[in-house]
Amino acid sequence: MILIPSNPKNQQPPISYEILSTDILVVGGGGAAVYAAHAAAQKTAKVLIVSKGKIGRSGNTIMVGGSIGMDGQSAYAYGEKTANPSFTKGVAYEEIIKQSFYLADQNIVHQFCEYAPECVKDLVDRGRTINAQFDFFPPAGYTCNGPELGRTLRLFLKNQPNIEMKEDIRIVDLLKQGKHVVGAIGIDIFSGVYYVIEAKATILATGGYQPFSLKCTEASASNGDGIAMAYRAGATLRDMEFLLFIPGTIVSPPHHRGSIFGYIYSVVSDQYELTDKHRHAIQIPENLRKIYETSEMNKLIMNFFGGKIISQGLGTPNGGIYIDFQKQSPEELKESFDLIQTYFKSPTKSSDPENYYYSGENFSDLRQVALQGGKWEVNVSAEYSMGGVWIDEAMRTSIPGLYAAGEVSSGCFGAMRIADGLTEMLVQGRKAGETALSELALNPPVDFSSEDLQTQIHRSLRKYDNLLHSTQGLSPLQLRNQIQQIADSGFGSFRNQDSMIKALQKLQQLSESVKSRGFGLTTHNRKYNWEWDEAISVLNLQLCLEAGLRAALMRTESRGTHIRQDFPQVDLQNWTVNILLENHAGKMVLRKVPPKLIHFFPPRQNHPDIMSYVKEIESEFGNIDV
Amino acid sequence: MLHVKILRFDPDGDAQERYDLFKVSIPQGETWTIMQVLDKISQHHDPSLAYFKHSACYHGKCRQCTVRLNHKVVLACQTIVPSTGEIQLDPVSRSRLIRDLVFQTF
Repeated sequence: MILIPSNPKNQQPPISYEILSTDILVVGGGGAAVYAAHAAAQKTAKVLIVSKGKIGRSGNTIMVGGSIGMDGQSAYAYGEKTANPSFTKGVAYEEIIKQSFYLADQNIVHQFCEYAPECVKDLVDRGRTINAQFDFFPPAGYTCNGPELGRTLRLFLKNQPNIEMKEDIRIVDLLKQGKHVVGAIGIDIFSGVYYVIEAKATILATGGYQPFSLKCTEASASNGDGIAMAYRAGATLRDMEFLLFIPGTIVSPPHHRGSIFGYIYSVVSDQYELTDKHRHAIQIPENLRKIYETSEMNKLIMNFFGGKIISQGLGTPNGGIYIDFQKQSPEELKESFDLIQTYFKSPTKSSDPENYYYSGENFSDLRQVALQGGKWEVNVSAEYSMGGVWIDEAMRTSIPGLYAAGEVSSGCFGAMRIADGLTEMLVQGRKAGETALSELALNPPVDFSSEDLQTQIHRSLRKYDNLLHSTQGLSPLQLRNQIQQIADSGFGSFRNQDSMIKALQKLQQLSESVKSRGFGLTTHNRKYNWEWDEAISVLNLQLCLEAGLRAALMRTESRGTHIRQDFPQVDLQNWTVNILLENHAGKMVLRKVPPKLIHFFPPRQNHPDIMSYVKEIESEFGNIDV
Repeated sequence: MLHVKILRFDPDGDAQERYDLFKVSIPQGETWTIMQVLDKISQHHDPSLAYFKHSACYHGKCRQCTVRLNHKVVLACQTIVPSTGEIQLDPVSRSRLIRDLVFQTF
């Protein structure tokens, strides 16, 4: 235990901290972190994995209700007889680039396609040793739910003598020697103990950001911790304007609020209608119907047409739309509900209709509503960030010694993700671990007793300790509500200049208010102090929202999930560029950089709106039943 | 109106345990879970209340938000409370108690 003495001049109390030392620090507790730690520990390197929650039982990895896939040719070669071998790596590569609206980094997507088969097979094989359910479905995917996935991931850390695990510790700042990241500062959430972690390399696997009030994400996840930390340390961000919106997120009843069960139902079954507040059907043009029914592009289609209805004042009481069962027969509905239980095994699965579970949650009440011809009120929530820390295809960030993998990073999916985020976390986690390990010897020796590093450590710890002891100022819990309201009002799935400028102004006012007034905590107990934790989280979230809003304002076109009412055109000629964001002496600087176009090039013709682009690219892949 | 009695105790700082009583109004026709009641108390009554929150999934997946409701162990995010009457909330473990309803988990 090291002690920073009290400062009698300004009555600051002493601060104590513990030191941890490792070769490779992995920050996170989901799939990217586990695969990174596993890959990094393959030789003699010491690996420390630090997670804000329990590894495999926290973060957005456990919120998954979906699939994890590879290409069909590889799946067929692995013995999956119903795989579609014509869905090759090359096709998958091309599909991801086009679905990204040409903004994905083609080298990163290539790495994704190359690593996917082994990484996914490894996961499925291990999962099956503990009877975790990964059922194959064509062309090349496995069903996957969060709790089963988490259980499987924990297997990768068993009997790994080189890997040390620390759970319930949040990393708050990165430490640098010159340009190199050489470790981090952490706080134990249960005890409030500070840690200084010395590491030759650091891998961020901390997930994305999600600033809205309707959440389908885990409570501590998606505050943009890793993105904000990296940015403060000087790393470049990319594509922050692109968040993946998932429609069908339950709004009401309140005890199911935030569940993606509505979307899951809409994927598994066609036994429903989307309706407006009068329960009139929302019309989707016939030529988009097939895409809607067969591709995850349905997220964008449902959002596009549902959003139009809402913007016309035809939204439901809570501002959404209905998944409506007024025209369905109970028999067909029962079949649909049974099918969901088959796909997504629940830890407490029961055939008793009074106990109808989906992945741990009892939906008997919603099932009953459907069988009686009722409706579910749903809206869009943000499930994934395409934007995040800039990386190259080896998972290096723009700062030496710092790597990033999974949702915290950017580059794999550009403006729209259709391929599996779960696959991304595995392939990028493994690659980040491999690269960090192979480059260990390149890192310079670190002197933690140097004045510069000691100053960084003291400054960081003093900042968080002052936060804990702050008495006058804003409530962190209220501040989160305000940030969410700002995001809802200006950064949602339908955007325009006026609402974004207003949102940015409000956010800047809030930021000034935090700077001038600081926070006020009601307890200064360092043990499990949720206000303290929230104060740290909301500052990160605020930074990410500012980055997202600035980039969204700059992009005067529509592309992927960035739908602008004032600029509906997909401007392939002028806007096939990534927006990069950097911290220049405290100022957020944005610049446009064209993505490297290696194998696939955008057509010269622009599209009048996003749906026109969607129709064109989906028709190209129509022969593959995805 | 729902009356919610919650154990308040920090083994390192408090001489003895106490129960605080919070009165929570659940809108008519709505069904709330224990987690929603705790969120309401934290937001509007007493933000210093410690309950499992830092990696809570809210949908029965992480299975970590366990609490004793009237002495019975339940998941806070999956257990609906009555809208009137009184309930009592205690931590699941006293021997590993951190503060209020939060206990050290492994």
